[in-house]
Amino acid sequence: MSSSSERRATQLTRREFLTGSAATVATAFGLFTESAGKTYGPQDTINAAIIGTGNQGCFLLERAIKIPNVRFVACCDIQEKNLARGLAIAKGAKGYTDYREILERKDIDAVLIATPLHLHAPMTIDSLRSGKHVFCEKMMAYSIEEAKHMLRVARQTGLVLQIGHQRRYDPTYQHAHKLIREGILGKITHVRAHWNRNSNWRRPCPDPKLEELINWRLYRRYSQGLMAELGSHQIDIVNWMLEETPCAVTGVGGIDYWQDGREVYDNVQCIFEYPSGAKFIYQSITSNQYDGCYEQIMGDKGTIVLQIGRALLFREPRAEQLAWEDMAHKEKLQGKEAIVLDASKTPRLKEQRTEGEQLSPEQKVAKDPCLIELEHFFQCIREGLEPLSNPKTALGACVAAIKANEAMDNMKRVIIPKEEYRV
Amino acid sequence: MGAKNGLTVLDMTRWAMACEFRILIAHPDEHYARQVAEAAFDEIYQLESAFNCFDPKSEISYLNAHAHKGYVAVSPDLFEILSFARQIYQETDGALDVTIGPLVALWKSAEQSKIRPDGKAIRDATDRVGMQHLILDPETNSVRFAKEGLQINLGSIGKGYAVGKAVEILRSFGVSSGLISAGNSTTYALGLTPDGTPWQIGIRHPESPNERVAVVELVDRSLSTSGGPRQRDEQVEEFFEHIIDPSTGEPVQTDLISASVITTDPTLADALSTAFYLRGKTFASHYCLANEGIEAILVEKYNSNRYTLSTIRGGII
Repeated sequence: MSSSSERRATQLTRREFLTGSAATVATAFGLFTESAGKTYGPQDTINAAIIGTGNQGCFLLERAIKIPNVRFVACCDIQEKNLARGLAIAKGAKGYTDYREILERKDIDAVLIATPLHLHAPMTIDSLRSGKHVFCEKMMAYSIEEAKHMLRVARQTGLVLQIGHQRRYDPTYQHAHKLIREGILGKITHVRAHWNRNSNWRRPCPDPKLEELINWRLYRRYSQGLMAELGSHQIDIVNWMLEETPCAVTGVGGIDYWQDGREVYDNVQCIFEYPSGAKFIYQSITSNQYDGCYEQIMGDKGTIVLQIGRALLFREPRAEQLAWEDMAHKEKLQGKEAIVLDASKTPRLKEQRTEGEQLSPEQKVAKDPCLIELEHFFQCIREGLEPLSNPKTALGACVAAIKANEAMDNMKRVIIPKEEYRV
Repeated sequence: MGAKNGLTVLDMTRWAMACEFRILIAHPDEHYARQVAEAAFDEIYQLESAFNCFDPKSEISYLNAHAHKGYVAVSPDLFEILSFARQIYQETDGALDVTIGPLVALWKSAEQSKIRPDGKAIRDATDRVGMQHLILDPETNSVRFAKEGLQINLGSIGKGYAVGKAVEILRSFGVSSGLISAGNSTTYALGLTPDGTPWQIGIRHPESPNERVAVVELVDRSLSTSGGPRQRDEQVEEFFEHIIDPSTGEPVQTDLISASVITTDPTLADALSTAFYLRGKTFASHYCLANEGIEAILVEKYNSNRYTLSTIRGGII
């Protein structure tokens, strides 16, 4: 980056990154609201923009450009390097450093927001108030009150607001959810989930002035740490599988390994209690990756171990044999035989008791859940549907993650009243 | 980890693209070097997830499944590597063809079943191979297949491209001394060693992997090798050779044991080493003479247990 652009980025960092949100909140709570009356046919082009073209924004954009009849006409980022990356993906789009200029454009129908957590609420609310449908990355918001406000504005405007919890769109997770709700695991009593890594969660920062801009995840005024960036995905899944939200949480966290000036925990261990009596034990650490990332749903008839694109079912000895069990593909894991839950085959086996027919090349492509969630976002805009990952479901994960941080900060069991999830 | 001349030497290896990637960074600040290495590995993982045609969720799998129906917008990296592949296809008279997917699948299946595919199967697969069927639109970074059944496989250039992108990351964060390698195939030497000398990279002995037939000095250049002992298993029949000749649809017939290329761009080095291995010594000589900045080191069969070494426009120490 040239010295002039560095200066500019630094100025933007200080002025817009730290105080810009206050200015935008003022707009967000203002009175203007655009009409949500526009309708789109299946072949009509939806003009879209993306705000935030860092790693995650570009990850989304690379998928979103593949969706038919969606055209990305604008990209926004306050970092020149990020903006250039975004514009290289969305060929022909116009670049902006102030997202409010995008919101002023009447030809833009929808925005994707992939900015630091503390900006999710002000940017989402501004976008909805400007008449744009919004896909906002997870976690929903920095605070519970902000998340609730996002939900209220989405209701008021009647526009689509989808939050980026992509696991809900993974066919494997959907298949597991269906089986679990049909009772394949019996009564669910416990859940374990991990997202363990061995890395410092830092991005290299050649200029100390840009540290908080680049490594915002490590600082409390922008970030809710591991519980928000990783844990909220898995809390969302557990809430979905159990179809309830936690009523209490206890936890222990610490900055014990990466003592490098960060303000958020580098390891978190929490126990969530659910109204049904189920307990969810969660861990995310940054000094050992042995356990990796998965969710383990445990009932009195069996256990399902879930990862993106992969689900294994272990039957408890006392569970009755399933009608399709002998035909299902099996795998051994740590000496135990597991039934592989294949979203493309198992339903057919169950319904027809026959081997699945030859799949076409399209069917063989197990789509990336991030592409599916983005396709679904634009489908919701066209067809007036409610997203699977909507503000109400995302609020559940957001409340639980923030309360878990509160429990760890105060070293106490935090009760989560039902009212916390109500808007 | 080591320290020389005030520089900490960070040495990290990770598994990606079915091989061991190694990143070595010499920098005064170890923590900073580690962050840069992590950023470079992140880039490699991202490319792996996009380019892996055996992962049904990858971008290349999406392209293989949909591009025959119409244009598919792709990421800048995928568009760049496909554009490069088309250019190198033209420059090597079709020796390197990334549309070779159907043939790779056929011979991979043959390797597993130990049954040689018949002529019809080879003709059917070859019929679905051809760079002329790959349509690229640079205005929109979109790709279309003019023929159904075309399948892209980036195995011959993906590692080189990933090494190049990782080098870009190192440079963008101010690293001026380092080494990046992808398995035994492609290496890039960034700047000088902490001692102020060129990096010395060995080319392995064809029959004795722990010995070297040559050592090459590199500064801001890449060395890539195709063939060699790992890819020739004398215990199995010849047709299981891993490199397929797109012009015949069959495993390569070559007198070379390995072909190494030295040039500034690791993707080019990776691509040309495959092309030279396929097309042989005469082709490699002509190419190096016609194109500046390309050096080749070829290891040829001499008799059953001897070999000869040819260097084209390069110095061997």
